[in-house]
Amino acid sequence: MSVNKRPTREEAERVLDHLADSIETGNAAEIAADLKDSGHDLNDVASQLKAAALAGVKGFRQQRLHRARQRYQESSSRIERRTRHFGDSSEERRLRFFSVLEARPELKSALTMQHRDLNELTDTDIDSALEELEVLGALEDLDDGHS
Amino acid sequence: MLTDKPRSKSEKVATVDEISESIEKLLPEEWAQLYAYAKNRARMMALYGSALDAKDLVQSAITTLLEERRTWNPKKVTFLGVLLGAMKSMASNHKEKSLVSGYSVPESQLVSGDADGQSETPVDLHPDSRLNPEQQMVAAENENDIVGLVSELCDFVQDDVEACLVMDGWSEGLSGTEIIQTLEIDRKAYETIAKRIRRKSTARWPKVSNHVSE
Repeated sequence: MSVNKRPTREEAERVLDHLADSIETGNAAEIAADLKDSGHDLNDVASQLKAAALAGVKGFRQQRLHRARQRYQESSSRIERRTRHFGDSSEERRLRFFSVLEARPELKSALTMQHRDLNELTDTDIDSALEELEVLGALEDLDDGHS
Repeated sequence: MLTDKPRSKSEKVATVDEISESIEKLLPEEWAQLYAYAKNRARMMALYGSALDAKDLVQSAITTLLEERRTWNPKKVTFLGVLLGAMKSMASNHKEKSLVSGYSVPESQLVSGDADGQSETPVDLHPDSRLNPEQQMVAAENENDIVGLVSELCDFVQDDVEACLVMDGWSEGLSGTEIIQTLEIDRKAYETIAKRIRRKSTARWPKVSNHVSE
């Protein structure tokens, strides 16, 4: 890269890369002194970058809070939906589940059940089975049939 | 010591509290080094259409650490070191994405000008659909500014023969070791020359007004 010849983008990039190496491996105090000599206010530099770094932390915390809130809302609406569609108590949900299977015995095979004996199903199994039946549209079909 | 090898990968994921504490503990001269490095990488990224500044890069480096996209072993690497490493990766990834997306094309594939003598910029050739026309114009101006800064630096060191030779080696793509061998100097002498160029760039570049340097 001769004097008076404008560098290409790639040449400029290579120069910047080597300067970056020199900054990375250089002495922090010397780099700070160079910046000061060139008119930089080191306190201002530090406070601006620190503010940016802390903004990164704050942004991450808010994002995490937002995700937690989202998860809470999703879980709340799932519980609400479950209560509305499947029944308030675990007993009601169990009854609902068996009434669906009674009305639509062919659905038994559509459910991926670990327990062959349906009476051994736990409340959690019942809840997830009802959710599967809801996804399959079986609950709506049954509700429509009853109405 | 200048090295041609990248830093080794760190191993541990830092907690939010560890990062916050480390930010508070950084010394003024370490902030200065971080700033110089961030500004350098922002300039490099501007060559590939970025409009991020030093502060944006520092904030993003913190975010990549917190989001566990980069791990950190405090016993092996300092907090400053891991931030510099994060920014190095961000700049490199940005360049790669820019080339893949078609916003930027390798220099070798650029045409130097059309029949009317009007040069086509990378923006003309590969407009980035993610940027509006104004943003594309700013990105193209940034790229042009940075090439101009490097050109000015070359002029600025022209009285220093050794610095000119080393800068020539850099722009030609030689590694530090290759330059040392070519110029028949030792590593210490090379580092001293590199430091002189770095100082000149620090002294010269802040005086130039552009979108990313300040």
